[in-house]
Amino acid sequence: MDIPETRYARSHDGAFIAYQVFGQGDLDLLWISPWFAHLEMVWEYPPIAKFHRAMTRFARVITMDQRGVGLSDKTKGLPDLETRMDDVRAVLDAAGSERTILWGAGADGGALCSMYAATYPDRVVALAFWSAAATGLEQDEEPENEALNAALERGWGLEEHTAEILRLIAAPSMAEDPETVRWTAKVFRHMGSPGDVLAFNQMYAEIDYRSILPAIHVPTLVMYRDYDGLNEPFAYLASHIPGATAIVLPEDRDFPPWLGDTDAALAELEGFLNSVRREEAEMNRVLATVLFTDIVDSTATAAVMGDTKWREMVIEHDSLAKAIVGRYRGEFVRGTGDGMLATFDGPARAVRCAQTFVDSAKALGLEIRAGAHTGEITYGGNDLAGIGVHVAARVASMAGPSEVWASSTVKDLTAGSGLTFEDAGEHELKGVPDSWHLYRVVG
Amino acid sequence: MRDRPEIRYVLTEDGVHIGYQVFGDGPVDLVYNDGWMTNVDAGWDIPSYADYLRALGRRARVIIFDRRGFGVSDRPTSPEEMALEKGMDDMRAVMDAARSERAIAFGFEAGAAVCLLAAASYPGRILGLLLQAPLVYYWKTLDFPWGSTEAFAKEWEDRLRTSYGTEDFWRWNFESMGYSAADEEVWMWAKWSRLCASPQAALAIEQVERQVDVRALLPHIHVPTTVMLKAGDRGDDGMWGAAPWVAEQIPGARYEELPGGGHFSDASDTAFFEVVDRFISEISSEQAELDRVLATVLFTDIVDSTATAAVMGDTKWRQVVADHDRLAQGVVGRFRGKFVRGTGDGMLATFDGPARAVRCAQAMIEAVKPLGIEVRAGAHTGEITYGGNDLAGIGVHVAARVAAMGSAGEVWTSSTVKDLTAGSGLTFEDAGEHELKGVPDSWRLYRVVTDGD
Repeated sequence: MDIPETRYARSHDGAFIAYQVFGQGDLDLLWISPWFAHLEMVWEYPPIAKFHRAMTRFARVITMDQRGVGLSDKTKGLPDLETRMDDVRAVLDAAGSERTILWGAGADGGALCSMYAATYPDRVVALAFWSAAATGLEQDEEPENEALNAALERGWGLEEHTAEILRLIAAPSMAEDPETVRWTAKVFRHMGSPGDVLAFNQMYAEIDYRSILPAIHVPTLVMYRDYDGLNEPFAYLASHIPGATAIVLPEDRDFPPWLGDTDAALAELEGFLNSVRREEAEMNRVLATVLFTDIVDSTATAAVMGDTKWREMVIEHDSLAKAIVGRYRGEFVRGTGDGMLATFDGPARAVRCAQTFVDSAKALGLEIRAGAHTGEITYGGNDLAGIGVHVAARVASMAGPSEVWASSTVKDLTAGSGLTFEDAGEHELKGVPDSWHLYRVVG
Repeated sequence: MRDRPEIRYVLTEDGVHIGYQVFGDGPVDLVYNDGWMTNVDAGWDIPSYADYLRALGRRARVIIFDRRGFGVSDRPTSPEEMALEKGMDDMRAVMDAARSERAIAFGFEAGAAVCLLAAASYPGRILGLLLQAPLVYYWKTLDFPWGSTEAFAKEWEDRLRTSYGTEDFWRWNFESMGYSAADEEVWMWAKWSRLCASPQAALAIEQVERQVDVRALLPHIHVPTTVMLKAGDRGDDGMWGAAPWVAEQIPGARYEELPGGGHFSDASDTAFFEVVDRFISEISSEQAELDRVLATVLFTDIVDSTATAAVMGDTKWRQVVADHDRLAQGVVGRFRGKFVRGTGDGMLATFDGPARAVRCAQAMIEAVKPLGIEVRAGAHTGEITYGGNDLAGIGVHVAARVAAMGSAGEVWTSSTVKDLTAGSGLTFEDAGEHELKGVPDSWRLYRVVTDGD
């Protein structure tokens, strides 16, 4: 895989936010990584490139440079969390990601993920946290932060201080290799100036999103590496986000997931995504009444009419169908060439629509038959899926000219609506298991 | 003192401000598209017209507006900019602004053509058409024996050119309609017309009306329609005689002739309001059926809420209920349900997928445990009606009763939910046949088996 193309999203205030999209998959995964933030340069470092590629095994991956960092616009002062959340939204919009899994590292990535999920629950499929504490700085971390600040001030971007900084930001294994240290110093310079980074670290220390956690109601994975048993800050998330799952990986001093046992981390993420995928499939299922109608003897009629006349007739049929479906507040899914497919959120309306359509089609000189069934279906693109769709199609094919047939489910669910049904017997429906009790609508 | 409804403005997609008013109350919305020209402000200065509007407002929630080019709305003035299609866009923008998802469209003269366009373009938003003296085509021809003659059209245009907006014009206009008006009345209407449209706008709308031809739309109208005409307007020698023919062309439409002469109806026209009342009542009873949707209703109850509240004390309990409701909203949202309301010791939600309702109930049971309470849940799929912030329908009662049957931590469902979730991986255990208080028949209920069982 070559380095993906960098694109820019336009945030609400006009700022340009750089992002990349790579890989293909049925789930979108936004990876938010602090500290090593330069969309293009990070691909030069093999562990990161490998980590990025590995994620494409199970998702379409989106990465971004936060505002003020790397390739994104520099803005005056530090952006607040809300602005950065808007940036995330702009990137996801630009990447065409309607619903996304957010996977954030550290207190900063965690804050952004949490805020976004609590604000736009409909756009978040799931959250995954990597070594994220709910506050940027624990009370007892004050001395370490002082040391980090001093190191940043003294030597941000300078090779001689980079090993020290790497140790302080919990990437010690990178500090051991001079080549990596030299590379890191370069990335740091391109990521931001010393002033930028000091300000960022100040902001990092002030992060506190504990109050948001109970408002998160999406499937959540809280993952971290055991750190000498000092895991309380990370475990906090798991115990305060309703229903979150915690995964503790074996001890490792390196914070970035692309160091140490990356495979173990990614395997856990993949397992989580698989369970999310199953849940998503179920989430998309809705209960609807599916109505199919067919023009009776369409082939023979088309032959008698001739192609041109028949095509005009089908166009008229479709526009009539749309109008009548609209009147009964259904959703016209599509014309079928010699009929139509529509869905309704009320079964009685599906039947009334079919009755009206049968009568109105007669005025066009067409005779139609109709079948309705209520069941769980899935909307996908411009079409429907689900066994319920097949059942409705089969039920329609059983009806005689100008008849409306319905499954027993429709009959049961419309009790009290004033519709009258006549028993049409038990039938096998081609390609659908079981035998079905069907009914003819008589009034 | 304000003696008329407040005027508001909506900005259309193409950047024109349309002034509108909403007034009155009734079982349905009625959007009124008057003929020729309007001014939603100045109309109220004419006592007979104001009475007429008020009489409409006693029957429906009425929305009136000035089409672009007229009255208080922005006035782009040319036949192109005042085309009826744009009037239709204005009407939709006004319906959106007035939060009227669906309305009866009432159209008079050229306003009827706008309503017909709307019913053909977005039938889902038009509950029905009430058309009075509809203008569907302007000219008298061999195959359209109503309409205007060349001679009449020429005289009308000449009068517009030379005397539009003056008392002279109105004296002539009243005379040509066979009506003798007092000076006071002539003065009043002349002033009204000046407030409705500038002379150029009056000429422009004349050009637009001359081009009207919505006859081909009529067979494609599929909303309930009633066409009205004053008896005096009937016949082949006037502009408006086409009304019975219009009704014939629209599938299933009804024609109602209103006794008496004249062209307009006013508050004293009992025949007119009888037709309006009948139409509104038919439409609203049809709506009651159309408002019914199939949904899965989920009730959850805090177990032993009275005892728990007593132990906790009022303050703590109120806090727990507030936390519970907030939690419930989040969990319901996660399963893409609609949180209807908290019940004081539980919650009511609806779902468009029954499996999700059950999964939500299971998640709720887990989620509330940290609050120190336990809940039970019940779900049923049935036809319900949304009204305001609440639900109605027997399905709601059934779900409430089903919820009451379970013990702490249990999700119970009707057999309907069980049947409709076949294939979802949910497991059910027969919980026997039960009578549900206040609901007829006996019900077979099921307990959802959780993974841990």
